[in-house]
Amino acid sequence: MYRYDEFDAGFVAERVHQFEDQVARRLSGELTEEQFKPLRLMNGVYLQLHAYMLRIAIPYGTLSARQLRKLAFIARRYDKGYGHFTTRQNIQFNWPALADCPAILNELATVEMHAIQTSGNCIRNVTSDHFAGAAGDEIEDPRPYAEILRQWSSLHPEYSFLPRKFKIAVNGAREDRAAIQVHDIGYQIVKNADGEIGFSVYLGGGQGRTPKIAHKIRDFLPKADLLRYTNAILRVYNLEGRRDNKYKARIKILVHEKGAEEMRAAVEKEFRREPANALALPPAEIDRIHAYFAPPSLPSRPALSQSVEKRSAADEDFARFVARNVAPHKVPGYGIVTISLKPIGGIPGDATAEQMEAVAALAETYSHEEIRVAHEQNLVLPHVALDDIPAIFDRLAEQGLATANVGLLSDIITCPGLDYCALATARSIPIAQRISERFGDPARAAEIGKLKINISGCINACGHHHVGHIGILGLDKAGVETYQIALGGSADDSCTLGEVTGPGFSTEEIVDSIEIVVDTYLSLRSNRDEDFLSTYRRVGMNPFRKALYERFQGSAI
Amino acid sequence: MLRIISANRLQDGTVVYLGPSGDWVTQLSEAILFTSDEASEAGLAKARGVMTSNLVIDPLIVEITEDGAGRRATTLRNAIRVCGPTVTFKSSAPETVRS
Ligand code: SF4
Repeated sequence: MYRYDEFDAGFVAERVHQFEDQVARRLSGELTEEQFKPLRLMNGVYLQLHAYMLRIAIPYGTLSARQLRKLAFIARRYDKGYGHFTTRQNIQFNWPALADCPAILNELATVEMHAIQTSGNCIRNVTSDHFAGAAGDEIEDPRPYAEILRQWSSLHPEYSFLPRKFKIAVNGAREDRAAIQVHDIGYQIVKNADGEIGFSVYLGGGQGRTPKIAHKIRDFLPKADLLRYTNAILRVYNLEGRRDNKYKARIKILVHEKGAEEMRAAVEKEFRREPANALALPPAEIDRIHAYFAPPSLPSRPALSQSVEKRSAADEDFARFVARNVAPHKVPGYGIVTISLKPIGGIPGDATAEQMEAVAALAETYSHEEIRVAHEQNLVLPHVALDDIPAIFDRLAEQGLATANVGLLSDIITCPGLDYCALATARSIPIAQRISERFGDPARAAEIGKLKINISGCINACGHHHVGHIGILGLDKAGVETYQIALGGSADDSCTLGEVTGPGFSTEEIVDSIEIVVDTYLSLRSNRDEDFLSTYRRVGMNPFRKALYERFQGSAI
Repeated sequence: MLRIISANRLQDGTVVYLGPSGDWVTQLSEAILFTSDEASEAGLAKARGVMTSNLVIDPLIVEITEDGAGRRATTLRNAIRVCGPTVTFKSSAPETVRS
């Protein structure tokens, strides 16, 4: 993985030093809150309902064991012993003291991490496929390009005060695991007819209060032009994006108002205006960054593991774990193990310091010291020999981390909601917990099959409810929590936004409502292989709506 | 209608309440009560003044009720500010973490 050079290390150290001074001046009263707030936000320090929150970037979701151990140390030393992995491949600590934040950032700098650009109207953490570098269906590892974009955009003077925040995702596999079509820019690595590798460019996607699916504005962008093209997009946005209305300031609104075709023309014009060599990426530089992401050497192994086969035959829980949580690796005899942070009835995305240390230890022993953070709020061991999976499973089970529910209904994506977030209109975590408990039985979950539920505690959509197969949005209706359901959303290559069923449901009704939706699906599917989304796309909203509102007639809010 | 002034402590973000002698207390039961809009607005203005002395941030007026069982915030949001998250987060062994 990428290692800081002298410049990076000096740059981060200087930022920490500056923040140390800024915090000291705030605490002494020399700086007012008005002066200080933008400075703390630039360093990832937010204020939630009952404490500060520190958001730390995990670039493109790649973590070393050493870094995860450091996060565990910070959780224990400066927080309440746990951290929360977010839908943007970041980690958040919910209880740090402001006075401790410089010390935490100092600790992070020792493992080449920081919280820069995790807030504010700048280019945020560049996200990517959590299976990058390991997936069987990969065209090329997207992380070198995410890293190049990260370096270029860090404290970029022209793009530090954009009209609004800006999110870029890069995907390198055939399957879109990085939700690129709901990002401001989505780069999809593709191979053209000449066998050349480059990017398809998607622009203007996003969630929040005005969800939009991105428009493909270019079929093929040569690698060398990655920065020049990104620069052109940002120039157009920086000049033309709306600064008069926060809710209309994202690039998706500009694309929508201007029209995708006109936006594409404006970007292409700006792109051509710059001399071709202005921001060209030299192949040697691409190779230099690529070298940091060289795959670990994985000695060849039999494609079928006898130890997995034997244990699976004797142990139903293990067999389920292998079926749900292990994905194919590009090298035969290896697998990608997803560690679910969604125990039945637990808080999605939370991990204790002990759990982080246990995962770090597993990465050290079994996964070439590498861990990934998935935007689905799970952790991943990317390079595991299949023969080691029984030992990994046992160690995970000891830590309560062996839940075999990846991609199933209880693998719920949830934002922190009103339990923490100052912007929330309703709680989201307790709803996730109750749904997970209702559908916790493994046999029932397996029967239902692939189904993604996403929950957000307000219209900002951090829980990505617009792209959940079932999306739940928590609202405040005259002081009462109300939950709106949307169906049919999807963040993958067949990206769609969910359609709202109708009036919302009360806290008491929401879990039963989800059960009605699920039962309706089970009664309508053409066979066991037709998953929820396929059935929904085939039959449409009506039967679901009918079932829901017949039952809750008169009681829906 | 009863009101109190709440804020977050600058140092660590802890929820605090304006106390009777202009200090900031952590117990809702010790907060100074205001019974009219005018009084609570005046209290808030005073709290904003106190802010400059760099003790708290984001002061706000919070409606509460009081009965034999004690004081309670009237909205879920404020109740969560008073009592903390309604969910039980898993934590490390208590002796190893900051309380
Ligand atoms: S969706 Fe709303 S409630 Fe949830 S984390 Fe984002 S801002 Fe907070």
